[in-house]
Amino acid sequence: MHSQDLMTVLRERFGFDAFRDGQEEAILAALEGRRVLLIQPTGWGKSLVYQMIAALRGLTLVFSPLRALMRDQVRQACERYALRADTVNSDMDEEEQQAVLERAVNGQIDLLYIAPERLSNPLWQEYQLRLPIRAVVIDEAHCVSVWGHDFRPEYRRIVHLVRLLPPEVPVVAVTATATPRVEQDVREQIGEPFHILRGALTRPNLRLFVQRVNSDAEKLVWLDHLLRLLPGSGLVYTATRGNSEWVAQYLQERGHTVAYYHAGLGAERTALEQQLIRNELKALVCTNALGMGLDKPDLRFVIHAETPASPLHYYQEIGRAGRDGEPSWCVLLAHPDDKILQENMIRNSRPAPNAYQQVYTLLQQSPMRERELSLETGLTQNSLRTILYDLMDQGLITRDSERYYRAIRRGQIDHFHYQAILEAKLHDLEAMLAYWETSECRMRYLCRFLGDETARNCGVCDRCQQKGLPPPEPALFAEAERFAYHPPLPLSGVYQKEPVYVQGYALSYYGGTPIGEVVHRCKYESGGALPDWVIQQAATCVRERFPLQQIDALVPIPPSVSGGFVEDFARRLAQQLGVPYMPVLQKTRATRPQKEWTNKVQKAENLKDALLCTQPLNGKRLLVVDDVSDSGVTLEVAGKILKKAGAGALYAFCLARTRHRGDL
Amino acid sequence: MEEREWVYWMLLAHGEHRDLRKRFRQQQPADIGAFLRDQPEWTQMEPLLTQEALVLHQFLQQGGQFLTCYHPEYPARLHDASAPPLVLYALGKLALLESAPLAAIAGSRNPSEEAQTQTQRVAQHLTEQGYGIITGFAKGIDQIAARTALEAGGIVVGILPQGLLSKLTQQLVREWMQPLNDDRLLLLSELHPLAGWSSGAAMMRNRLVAALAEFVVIIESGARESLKNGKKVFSGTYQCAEVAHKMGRTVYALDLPAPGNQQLLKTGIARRWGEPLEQSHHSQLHLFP
Ligand SMILES: [Zn+2]
Repeated sequence: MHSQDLMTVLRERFGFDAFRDGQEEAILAALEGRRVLLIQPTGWGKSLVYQMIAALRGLTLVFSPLRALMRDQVRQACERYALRADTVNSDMDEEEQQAVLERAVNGQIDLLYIAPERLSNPLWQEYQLRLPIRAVVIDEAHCVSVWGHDFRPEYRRIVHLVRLLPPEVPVVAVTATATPRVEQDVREQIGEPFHILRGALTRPNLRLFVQRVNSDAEKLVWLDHLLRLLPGSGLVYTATRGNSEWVAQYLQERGHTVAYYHAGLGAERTALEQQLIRNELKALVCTNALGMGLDKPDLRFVIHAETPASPLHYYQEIGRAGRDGEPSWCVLLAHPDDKILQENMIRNSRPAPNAYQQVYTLLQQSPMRERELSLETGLTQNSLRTILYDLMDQGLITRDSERYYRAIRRGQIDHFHYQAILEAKLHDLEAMLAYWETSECRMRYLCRFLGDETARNCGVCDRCQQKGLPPPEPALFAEAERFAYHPPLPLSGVYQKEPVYVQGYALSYYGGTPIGEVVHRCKYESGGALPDWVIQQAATCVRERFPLQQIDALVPIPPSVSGGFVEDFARRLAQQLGVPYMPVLQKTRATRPQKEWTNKVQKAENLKDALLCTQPLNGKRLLVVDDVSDSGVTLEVAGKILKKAGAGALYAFCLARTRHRGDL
Repeated sequence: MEEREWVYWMLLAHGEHRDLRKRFRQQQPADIGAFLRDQPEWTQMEPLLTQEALVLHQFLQQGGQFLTCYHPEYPARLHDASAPPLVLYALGKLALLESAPLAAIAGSRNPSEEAQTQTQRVAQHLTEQGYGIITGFAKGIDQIAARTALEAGGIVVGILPQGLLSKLTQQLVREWMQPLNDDRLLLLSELHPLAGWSSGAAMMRNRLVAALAEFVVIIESGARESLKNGKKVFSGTYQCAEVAHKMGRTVYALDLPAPGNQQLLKTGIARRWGEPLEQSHHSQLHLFP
């Protein structure tokens, strides 16, 4: 292949007159059989490199981590360059998947996007011997490396595949961000001959600020303030799903057109992205589930309500702002608790060593499917999957095409490796926290962390300008403090296509609050009945938060073990509110306390058929009351039983909720 | 990097290119990639590289091992077979092939009760004498022998007449997971991982059973050929005995009334199991109960 031929294709097929710096070099290197790693910022034109290869070579398989990302890239390839692109993923039913695969077999597809997990899908495996794949692309290649900001164990499969490909099959790996360490790791994994093209990382139009906040209320005030201050629309990142809902609710109450967005949402995520793209929302309050796939060049701001886990994460997330090159704002709200929050998330990101051993031991005894393993071990789906992928990665277990996992050898689980990763992550977190305090230009600080030593002072950040953001009105504080005190409950479950509960609140958080301490003492340390002041505060909260005149009665959740703690609380609350007390839920058998079960499957099994409703409810609107809510499973199960008995709208109220699941 | 050459080997070994394989065996080129790129068949083969890589990847993820005839671990004894496999797929520990001398046990899929009892006796005895048992791992005699040897603390090698990713093999692997993981069972196949069972392949695998074994014990065999629904059918067990005999491996047959056994003894292909051996290296191992 000569450069002239490339130029012809570029002009005729893609409508460009010239390549950008490095694009041609990358294409030629890949076609010559070298493994290419492109580290270039978003917007540089990485996709053109593999779109060209697809145009020249034929069916090109693109591994991509997120369905949203695939969707956008498929659309872009089809619309802009008339390439025949498509995807096979788990959102599609089997017939749709089959139709796409058939077209691929018949040579009617140029670019096929799949997630790495697809390699172990039975339907895919049925087709793989007929797919005329001529080139392989690894999108978001940093996911291969444990040192990256988004390691995905399933990406390791791609590495094993790529190592089997002879030089006749071009392989291109692309990423926007890779530290020198990640780069080295990718190189070692994918193998020689290796060709790297690394671009400059500075984004001159991004204006970086750090703002200290010292309480939840102050954080809310600043968010409220910033949404008024900053032009256009943007993103507010939070560290957890719960926080995204909580922050979004406050901002909505303050009159902002915002919505929350996290991985727990289903199909409506696409609609929310579209609303943001059309500027119908001021902001999406999101976890890092939003990001890579969002195609909005005029995103004007990215605010972080909580500090992310590393400068790499931060750079990646703010990188979504201002792709059109216009000035955009990136504000990090720095709260002293962020360090603890992130440290906990890092430490809990990996299941405990004995959980690994338990799974491995079970699979040495007999082959099992995921559901059996889940029931047997009590691990959450996330933990279980992490363990399964890690054990597969270590070559200790495998999964066959009938979805059975089994041990394939007896060996030792390597925990040392994970300990090293953990320490590296904590080290990256320190670098992120040092960003708060650095006296250096903030953009330069981030670029240098990412391996770009060429970065100069940006001239527009709060350090370069030696000027922070204008402060909010003191009047905003009272409302924020009131809100920060009564958190919303984590509610899930659907009954006849409607959410089981209209809304739900806790009087307070469980950990580290006066109410939480009283509840803990009374419930678990036999500290007696709840003091009157708690009941009075609860009644005030219910009056403020719920449409009390639309509630017909108050229903307590029966306890798992004997003791009338919830009933006592609910009866006194009902009296205080002047609402009828209706203990219609009854236990049909004894259950274990929910906190003894660790995953949702087990929790639901524990309650299955254990509750019944003693009378028909004829559309009655009810406030369901419990003491402490953690996973929300109990409320969900109880709510469904009440709905089945004919209840109308349901509301939920608890004395306390945990900050993070499993804190009981 | 050798891994990167594996799919070349797969295309060479499993394609429809008989002439190509012949040329390869004649030339024994050191660089298979360079060799293939020079061949007229290459234009048809090149587009298939990724597909084969996907299949091989799936197989390796199942804990499988891939071996070419150039690999140092490739069993030397296989060169005694006609057309020794160019590639081998293995599940289990390859070193089992070196850990004990192997004795083959062969017999029908639908054995008589007597044959089942005899299989257990023979397998038990050979295991006690320090032999590993190699079989075609079919239902009936083959698997009874395997089970007995494993229960007696021995090792077993099975040569499968289907690919190691086929549904049939996956069921076998789940069923025999413990001995596989205990490094006491090795399953081998020369076929493409996705190949299904075929009677042709079942016959072909006999040459590998015979080549890897020091000697073969026929438990119960049908007649060399017979008529079934008006069609001529050949007994796999009988064919195994013939192949082994031709290869110079000693063949024993139990003196059971089965027509194949009697035929083998009469033609001199097999010796009667239980007779003392002259100048055979197995004799010192007290072969007979
Ligand atoms: Zn600066």
